[in-house]
Amino acid sequence: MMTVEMVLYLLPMISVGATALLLMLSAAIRRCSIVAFSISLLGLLCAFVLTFFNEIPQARVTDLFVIDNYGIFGMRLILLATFVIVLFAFDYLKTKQEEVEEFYVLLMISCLGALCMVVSNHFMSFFLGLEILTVPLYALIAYFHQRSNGLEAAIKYIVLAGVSAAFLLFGMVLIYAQLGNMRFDILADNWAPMWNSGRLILLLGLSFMMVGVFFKLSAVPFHMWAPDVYEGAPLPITAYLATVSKGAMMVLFLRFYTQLHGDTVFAWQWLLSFIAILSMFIGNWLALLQKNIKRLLAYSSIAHVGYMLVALLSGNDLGASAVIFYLVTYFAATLLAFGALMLLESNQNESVTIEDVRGLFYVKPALSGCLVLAFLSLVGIPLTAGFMGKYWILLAGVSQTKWPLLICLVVSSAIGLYAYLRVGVSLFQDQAPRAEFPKAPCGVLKITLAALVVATLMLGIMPNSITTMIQGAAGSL
Amino acid sequence: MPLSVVPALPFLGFVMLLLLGSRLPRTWATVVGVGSIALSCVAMIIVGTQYFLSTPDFQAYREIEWTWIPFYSSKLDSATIQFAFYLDSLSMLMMGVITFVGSLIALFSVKYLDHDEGIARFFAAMNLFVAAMLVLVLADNFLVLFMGWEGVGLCSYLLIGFWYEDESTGRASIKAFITTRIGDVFLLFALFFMLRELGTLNIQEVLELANDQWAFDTTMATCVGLCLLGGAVGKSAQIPLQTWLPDAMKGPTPVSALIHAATMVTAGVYLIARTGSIFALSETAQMAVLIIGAATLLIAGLSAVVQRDLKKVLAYSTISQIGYMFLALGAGAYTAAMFHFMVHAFFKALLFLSAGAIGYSMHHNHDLYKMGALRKKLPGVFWVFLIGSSCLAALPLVTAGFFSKEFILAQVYTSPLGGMWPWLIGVAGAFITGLYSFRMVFMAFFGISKGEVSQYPDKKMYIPLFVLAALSLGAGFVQIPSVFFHVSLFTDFIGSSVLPSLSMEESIRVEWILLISASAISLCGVFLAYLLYFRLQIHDKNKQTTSSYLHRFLASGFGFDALHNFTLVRPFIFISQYLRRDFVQLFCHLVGNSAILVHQLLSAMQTGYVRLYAFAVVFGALVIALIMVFS
Repeated sequence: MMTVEMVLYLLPMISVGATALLLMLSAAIRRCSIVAFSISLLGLLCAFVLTFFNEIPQARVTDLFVIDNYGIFGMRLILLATFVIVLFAFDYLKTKQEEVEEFYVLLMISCLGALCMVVSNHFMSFFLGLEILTVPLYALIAYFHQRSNGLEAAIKYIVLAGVSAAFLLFGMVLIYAQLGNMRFDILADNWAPMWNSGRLILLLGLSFMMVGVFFKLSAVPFHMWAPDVYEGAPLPITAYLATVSKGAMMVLFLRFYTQLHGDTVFAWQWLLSFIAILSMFIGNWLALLQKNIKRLLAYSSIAHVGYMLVALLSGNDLGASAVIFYLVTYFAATLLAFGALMLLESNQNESVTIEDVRGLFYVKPALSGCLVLAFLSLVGIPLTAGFMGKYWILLAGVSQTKWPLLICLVVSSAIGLYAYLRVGVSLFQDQAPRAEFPKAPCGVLKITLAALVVATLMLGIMPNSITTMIQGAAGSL
Repeated sequence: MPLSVVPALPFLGFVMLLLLGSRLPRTWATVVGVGSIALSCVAMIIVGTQYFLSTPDFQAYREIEWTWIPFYSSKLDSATIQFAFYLDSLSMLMMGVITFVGSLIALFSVKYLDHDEGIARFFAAMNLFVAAMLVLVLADNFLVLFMGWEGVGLCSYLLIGFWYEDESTGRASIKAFITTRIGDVFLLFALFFMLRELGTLNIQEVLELANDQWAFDTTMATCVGLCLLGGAVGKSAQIPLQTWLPDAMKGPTPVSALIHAATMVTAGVYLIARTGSIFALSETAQMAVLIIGAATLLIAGLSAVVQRDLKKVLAYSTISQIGYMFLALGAGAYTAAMFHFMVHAFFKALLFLSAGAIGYSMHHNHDLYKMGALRKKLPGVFWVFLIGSSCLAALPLVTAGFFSKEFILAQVYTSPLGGMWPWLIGVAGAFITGLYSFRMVFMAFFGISKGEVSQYPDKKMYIPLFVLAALSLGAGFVQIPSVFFHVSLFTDFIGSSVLPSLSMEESIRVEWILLISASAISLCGVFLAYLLYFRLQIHDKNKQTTSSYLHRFLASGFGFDALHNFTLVRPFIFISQYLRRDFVQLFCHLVGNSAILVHQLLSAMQTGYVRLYAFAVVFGALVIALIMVFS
């Protein structure tokens, strides 16, 4: 039963959906990229503000959604990240010849899918949200269809995402067949009684669902698409794939795992540990000698999923809050890195390599500073956000005595350190940099980068600015 | 006004200079650089006044800024760490000296570096130093203290190597950095021990819990005490880690004045004074402090007597004076140590700045053998230098150094931990101090002129000199021995935050004897300097023959550099060169090579073919299903 109150809870999502409609209308009347840009920003801002009217312990909106502190925090995170990406996109699209209004439309629709996922409490909303998130991405990746690598990336993404979605759907079906319900919280109740009779089917269903989840998270061995697609997609969309698309799935998966009392299902834990270790090591190993910075960031995102899975496996409240906090720090650092890359990329050179940025510090100190900070944070050096994130994960792991996982985390971080610091070293190498970088940063991008720098440092120095909020969110799970 | 303003101002100055440094015009860079430290001094005065007015008995208070590490779990409740400042009379004293002397020195450096290109860089590092030093002394938590501790180490490194075009300054700064780092490792271990044994790093809690949980002379107390001492020894340039300080004189002279005389090198003294109750739990640790202090003050003093370079004399003298402070700490006379710290900060900053003024006038010449007869040429500098030297030599009654040194010696003699022998060493040190301080005066300002004065110090340079000279003369009167007439303002003030002195009351007669014999002996030292360097002028006559073995041995600071070289550096290099070719290296390469191999293997799988990727997905699904079903 839908009541007016429930509609109010869904207002942030409705606002983003309405923004997409509005964008289409305005494009139909008159095409103007500035207008489209402003409408999307306003819509996101409006949705962000609307999340603040929903401070409630928990509210179910039909069977599909649950609005609680956790979901609201997830929404805010998604909205902020999309906001930043819209700002990136504006700068990116300025130099393109194509008509760009649809870019914003697709981005808004995709964002709607992500919002749907973070508050979903049902297989249906899970799957719908996922598809609403993913389908616009196919178009966005190939948006500039003169670029052959964009098309290639999109085809790869369609095929592989299709395969994995099929697995996901099949897994859902198997579980539904056994338990007769699709709501996470009811599943959890039906879970234990059915455990003895239908164990095999349930486990198979869960494994197939995991394929879809891991694909979206680009966890090993479902990671292979990530570098190719990251490289081929337009840079703002790469940033979107690395943050929003992955973050929404992480938020949803954490809810799913907690609701189903994952810490009591040993097979599931074994699987997650296995995947976490593989992701951490293989992600960092692949990054080791990678020269292309976009691909490097793709591999880094694989490793970071592994870290987050370690926190997730650490069970209790501490683990859940560690996942959320790590997600926030990962968002900040990744967006910062992509933002800095935006300024290095040009139409001629769409894949910046480590050689390209050699000696950049002596030409563009501020930009290099951003890049260094982003990578230091991804490595987890103290006084950056990444350190606090990793510290919290370690703390959660230690409190649950997950020693093997923690050892793997530390060792693989050391491998990653080598991979990431190569970028930093290259920036300071005393050689003339490659041909000049054409783009002069526009004011919007400058402010965005400055804000991300502040966020990365603040989270590293004064994390208590958001930890209470995160602990509240984790508590409502 | 909140306490945090005091360290925040210089930090803001640092951030501004870091971000805008190269773009700011010179004047603005200096305005920001000096202004932020001076404003911090003003803030210190306001905070201090509030503190004195609101808490007449100097009660400590805590100001929590934010929760630095807010995560906690039920099992590890110690993980929460507050970024908080703690103000009691001890940190008030340190804060006052740092900001006040710091702003005078910053003012001096404006003119001193008026031809230097990197002035923004200089002030950026200087501001960061002041901020880090303030964090160090105000910290409520050992982790915050450690951050400040490392921050000042970093700034010391940056500023020693300020003129980085010269290779030797680079070497000196690296030496300072590495040597102090050895001490820092000890400090870090002290922190680990505390966290493990007491479960907290909050300084006050640690001190309380240590008193409750550790019995007298237990291994743990000794361990922690010795580790803290190790940190202090590195930072404060005490034996055997003192060798970096003479080399650190390669940096600009204002840096030597602020970092390597007045503030940073006394961080060790502060640390021991702050953690006095841990040292009180361990006789071994306390004894070690005393012995290190006594040995250092003699060895460094003797080395100071034969140095050619004016700044090196001052450097060895700093080591020796900090040795006095350690002697006092070892004898449990914390108040005396802190009193000498304060007075020493004034007169040593004065001496260094005067040396800077001489260097400024003589093309950065600091060689005593190339000075002479500067009394006529630089009369202003002469008078302030004379005041500084008298204070260093502890000329009776008129100088602050007299009161502080007598205070230490009297306390050491009467303390149950001290006694006759430490007192005798202290008195011998006083004799040497008298000798070398007036050797400087006679060699630089009297005799025949051996160097040209190319420019005269600016009026602005004299302001800090005069202020510091006045303090060197006047600061002693806050604590006057009871044999004259009893003034104990300083003891009353500092006594609220450090452990009370252990000294027994002695009869007036004994005190007089101690006082007179000690001052007579330091006067003897001054007289010997007068004979040798004014009457006989031995430094002019036998220039060639001075390089006897003993002379060279003393000049090299008792050969500690060679000793370190022989016992540590050479074996280290030998072992590393040996290991270069052996199987350990093979193993190390194996790790790296195998990582690269794995990387290449994995990269080879990233073929870009969708069919392979799709196969991986299906294969992965199969593996997952197998794991799930069979585990």
